[in-house]
Amino acid sequence: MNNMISGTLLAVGYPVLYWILGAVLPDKYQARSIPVMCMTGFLLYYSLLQIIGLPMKLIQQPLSHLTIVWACVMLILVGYAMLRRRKVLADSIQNLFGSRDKMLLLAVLAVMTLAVALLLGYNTDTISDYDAAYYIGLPSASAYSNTLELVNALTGKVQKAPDHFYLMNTDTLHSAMIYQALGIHPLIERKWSFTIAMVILFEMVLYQCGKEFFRKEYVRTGVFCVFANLTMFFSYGIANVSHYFAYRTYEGKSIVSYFYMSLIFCFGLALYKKEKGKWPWAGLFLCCVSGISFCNTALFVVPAMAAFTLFPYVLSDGFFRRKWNILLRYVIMLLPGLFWIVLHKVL
Amino acid sequence: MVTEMLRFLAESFYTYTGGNKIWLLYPVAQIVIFLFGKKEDKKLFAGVWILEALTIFNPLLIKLFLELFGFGNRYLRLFWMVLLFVTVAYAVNLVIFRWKKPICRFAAGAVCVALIVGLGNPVFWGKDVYPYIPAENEYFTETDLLGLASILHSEGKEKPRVLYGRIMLSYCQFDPAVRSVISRKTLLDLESHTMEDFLNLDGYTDTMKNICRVYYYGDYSIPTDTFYKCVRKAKLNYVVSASAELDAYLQGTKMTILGTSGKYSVWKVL
Repeated sequence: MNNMISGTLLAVGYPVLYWILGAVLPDKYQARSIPVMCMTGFLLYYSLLQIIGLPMKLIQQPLSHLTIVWACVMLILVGYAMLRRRKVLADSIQNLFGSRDKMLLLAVLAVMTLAVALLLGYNTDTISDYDAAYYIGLPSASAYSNTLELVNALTGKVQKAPDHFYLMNTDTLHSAMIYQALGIHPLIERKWSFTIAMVILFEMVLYQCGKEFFRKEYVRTGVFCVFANLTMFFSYGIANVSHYFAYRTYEGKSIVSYFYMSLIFCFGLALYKKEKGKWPWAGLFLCCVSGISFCNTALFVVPAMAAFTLFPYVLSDGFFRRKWNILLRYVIMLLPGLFWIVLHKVL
Repeated sequence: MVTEMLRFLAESFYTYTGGNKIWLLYPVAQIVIFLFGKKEDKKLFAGVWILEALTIFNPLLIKLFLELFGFGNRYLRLFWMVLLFVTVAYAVNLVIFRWKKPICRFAAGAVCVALIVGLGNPVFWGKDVYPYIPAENEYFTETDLLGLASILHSEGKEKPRVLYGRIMLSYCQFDPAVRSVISRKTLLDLESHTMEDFLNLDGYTDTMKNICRVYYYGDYSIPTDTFYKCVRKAKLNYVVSASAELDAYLQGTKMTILGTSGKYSVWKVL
């Protein structure tokens, strides 16, 4: 029972942490909106994990060192957000409230999100035992041995180096750190806490898409979110996004398939809708930085999705209207993806 | 070559969608958006789709992508970029809210729901889909595995070496303090080869082959004392059995039962 309590607290803690981290970004990248801040905060979290975790993995530091460094980084960032970015956090809470229609919509979506989160969280049929052995077995082995993926999860053999195929991915390090720091087993952290957190974030992305499409027409936003979920749940195919979302919500490649693709679309949509703030660009940039943390497919798919989604906009609003800053931002956005591809080739 | 790539594209798409008829709604949704969507939305949906069709889904260029990026069977993952649920949800919205009267909107919504539910195949409860298996304990794993862990550590051995089957993929998630004598590669080889083919594979000692013959392929023609010698040579501490036939076979060796957890029996190697 204690495990479930701490796992549930962590499930709520994750979005709250991402929201707080979302406030860290400078003002020009702020939307002062809870969903956007959760999204950008999540991306910032995993971008930092990739930047800090990957080198430590390569030089084979003990897990405890990474845990301490990570805890310090989080404390500094959360402390900074709470002390110096209080207004951003307060504004986002204030902006949450609005008309009766909006509050009704949020209540309905909250119930729907909770239902979906519990449904997916309670499911233990993840189909691919091999993948689950990697995504959960590896953090367990890392925490047990206090290494960064140097111990084979099945045979317990100490390896000379982390598995080359998964070398650039750092999401599994995160589970190991949580286990070491908070004592929450990766089975609970992945299958319950993180699954629930990802469902919450995904529904926030859908809500934000609806908001971009329909602005203050809250009923239409609600209808959009409901039908997006309905379509997702009825489009089952063993190899597709629906399957990954429903059965393997916490797995790295699943997160890239349903979350990153939707997130990139959402940020792109904001630009098409003439969003004045720069937060979509910040979000897209962080997508390209952090995607590789979850799976190798992100090396191509994440920058490709960003490039394709924005290309018509960049062509019409940037190139044809001679707004070169749009072209520049487009190129800068894709640079992290190029960097990771080059690094992947080198490693 | 173009025909070959077209066939590859069609097969990839069919594999990705699982033949789910809900995907018929995707082109319909694109047309609805093109006809009734706002200008910037048309640019987004149609523009991106055209770009994808000209590049990553272009039969003339697929071969180049496959060779350049080495996608192999991961080409399917490019279909992640096709956001069916967003496209359909937006198109449904356009259809429903074209009507002014609430009753007409409700009727349009009902038709859309009927189309999605009627054409689609739902997760968990649909046809030929993996079932929903609710958690039976707070570790979201098989309860018998939790009992197994208690038995395997009951004698205080540090990192015991264990022979166990496919459950090792689930077990290692819960308990990393047990070493499997079978690696992931070996398990993959065992699951993808017949016994005769496996015995001809390079990289496995006779000891391991004999163990696998009995344990994985159920070939009980191997004398029990030969199997026992192999188990000892492999420095195994425990053998986990999940079948009555194997239990009966192991009773002919010097191994003794240390404990049982549900359908699993743990045999101790003396």
